[in-house]
Amino acid sequence: MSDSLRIALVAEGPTDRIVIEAALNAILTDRSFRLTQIQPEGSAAFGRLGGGWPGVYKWCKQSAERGNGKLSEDGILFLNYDLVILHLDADVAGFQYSTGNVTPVEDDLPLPCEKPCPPASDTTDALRSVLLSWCGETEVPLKTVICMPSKAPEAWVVTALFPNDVSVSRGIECYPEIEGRLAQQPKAKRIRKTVSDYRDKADELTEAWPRIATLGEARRFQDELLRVVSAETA
Amino acid sequence: MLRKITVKQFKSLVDLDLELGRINLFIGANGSGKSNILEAVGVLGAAANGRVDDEALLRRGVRPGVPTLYKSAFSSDANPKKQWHISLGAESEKNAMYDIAIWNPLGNPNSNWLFKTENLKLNDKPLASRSPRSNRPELNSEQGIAALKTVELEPGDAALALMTQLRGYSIYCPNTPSLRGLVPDVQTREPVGLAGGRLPEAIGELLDAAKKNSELEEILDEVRMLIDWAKDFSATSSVGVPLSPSAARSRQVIQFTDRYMNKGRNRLTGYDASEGALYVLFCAALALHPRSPRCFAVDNVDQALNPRLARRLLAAICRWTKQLNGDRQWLMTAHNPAVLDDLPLDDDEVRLFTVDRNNKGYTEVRRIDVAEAIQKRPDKGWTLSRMWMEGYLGGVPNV
Repeated sequence: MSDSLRIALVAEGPTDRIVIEAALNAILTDRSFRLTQIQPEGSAAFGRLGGGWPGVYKWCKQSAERGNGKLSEDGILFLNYDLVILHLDADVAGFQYSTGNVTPVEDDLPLPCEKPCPPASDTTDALRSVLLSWCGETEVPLKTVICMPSKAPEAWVVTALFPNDVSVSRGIECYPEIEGRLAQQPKAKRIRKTVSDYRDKADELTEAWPRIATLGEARRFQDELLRVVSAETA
Repeated sequence: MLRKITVKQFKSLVDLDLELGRINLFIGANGSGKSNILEAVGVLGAAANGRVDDEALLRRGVRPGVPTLYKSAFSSDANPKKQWHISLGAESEKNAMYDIAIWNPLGNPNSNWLFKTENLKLNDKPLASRSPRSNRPELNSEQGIAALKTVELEPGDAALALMTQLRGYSIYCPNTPSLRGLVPDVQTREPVGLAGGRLPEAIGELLDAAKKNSELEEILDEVRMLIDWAKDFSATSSVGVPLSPSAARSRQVIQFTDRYMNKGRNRLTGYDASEGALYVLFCAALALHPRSPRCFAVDNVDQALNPRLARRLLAAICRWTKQLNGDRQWLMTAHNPAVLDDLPLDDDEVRLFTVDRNNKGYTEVRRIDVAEAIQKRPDKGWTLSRMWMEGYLGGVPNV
């Protein structure tokens, strides 16, 4: 029991956490883990608290500040965790900082940074650099895994639950506003982007992971995660 | 909604004027007088219903007490006998006002508190009043006259609304055995009893209401989000559910679906579930149930909750109250600093008060000015919870 992998998750929202946990259940088949969502410190009274990508931004800045400018030097982060997963949706590449009420500092790489899609990886490569700049890093640090579904985790959900959906055949990682496809299903099958519906489907997401992992960003997440876990175990 | 309350000579509250919002959270040291504030409104509620006696007070979750304990009696008071009565008053946002002065002989108390003065007004126009000077001898001083007057008021009358809010006011203080259905709730009522009894029925009614109300359905999804170990919850008949034969069975039970267990063995009742989940459902019932009182108090709203859950629950209560039931008003006490950090205090209807006792023992209440707190915090890294814990907001014991 005590050798469970201790994973910290910095995620945009609660449904994202469910999708990522389902993925972890599929990927880490021979290893138990404990997943804990960590959040930026703050008071709503002193400004909006971090949900969504601005919350990820705020957490990264706080972590880098604790680490004298670098997430990798943030000692408290790895006091209780073996690794940290940083989640950010690829569609953030299309946003301005101002849409999240974020005032970027000098070292933050610019947003938007969206590239033509396909391939999805051009945009996610650019956004990964932006995310790392928030953390004071230029390369993905040790014990750190980036999870960047393109354009959102709903691409993974649709792939798992509705493999014959039109978005799948048209290149789901570049499909705009993929969340809308959840509701565009036959009535008996459609789901909402809610915690209860996602929790209901979590096991199906895990079972369908081999299909999800055919998507480039899902595969990248799996490969990077396994690399970090094997380094941790070694 | 109660916009203002005044209290004089009640327990540690010697002279209190309080401007209330829709959500009112009182924080302070143990023994600072937080519960006395909640109880003062309860006594006024009993008066609004016509009688202030032990039964009426218990019914509202107010601890009945002998007059020597109810009436302020500070050692520093130069003339402790100068005022024999307790004065309480409330004003609504629609200019209705109800105030009373009640008394009881300290040495030989009556079972009923006696009305000395009583005023019910709307826009300063008296609707019912009594005073020692105007008292007719035939008036029964054990019976409030404003309560009688309300039978003549038209539905929608602001004075009637104020009296109805006061009458319906109660102090909820849930406990785990009642929430689990193991012991009967002495003060049961719809939708939930003061100790948490009748919770399965309330949740069942809420789930039924959500079937016809998509907004409520979405909010219930937020409730599910707060109980992260469960896939879902429901209310069901206790017949046939997995429950120890030695456990007391109520007619209905809450049933949770554990997300980690195998199908067929993943259902557990409120008897076995985490108590935190039951406290969350209790607050949800009060916040969302169509038959909840319009104005009520919850003492120790954060009890049994993990700090992060307590914080999220308080934020959710603020959100739900604004979104679904704009006419509902909460008075709450809490001890967990984390609850401060998600409070939307930029909304003027959400108010945070610190409660302290001064050198004479009088309870003093101060509303936290968020703008001032933002301006004076040492740097942006400081949270409201940290400011409280380190004593900068007041409301902490000197230990």
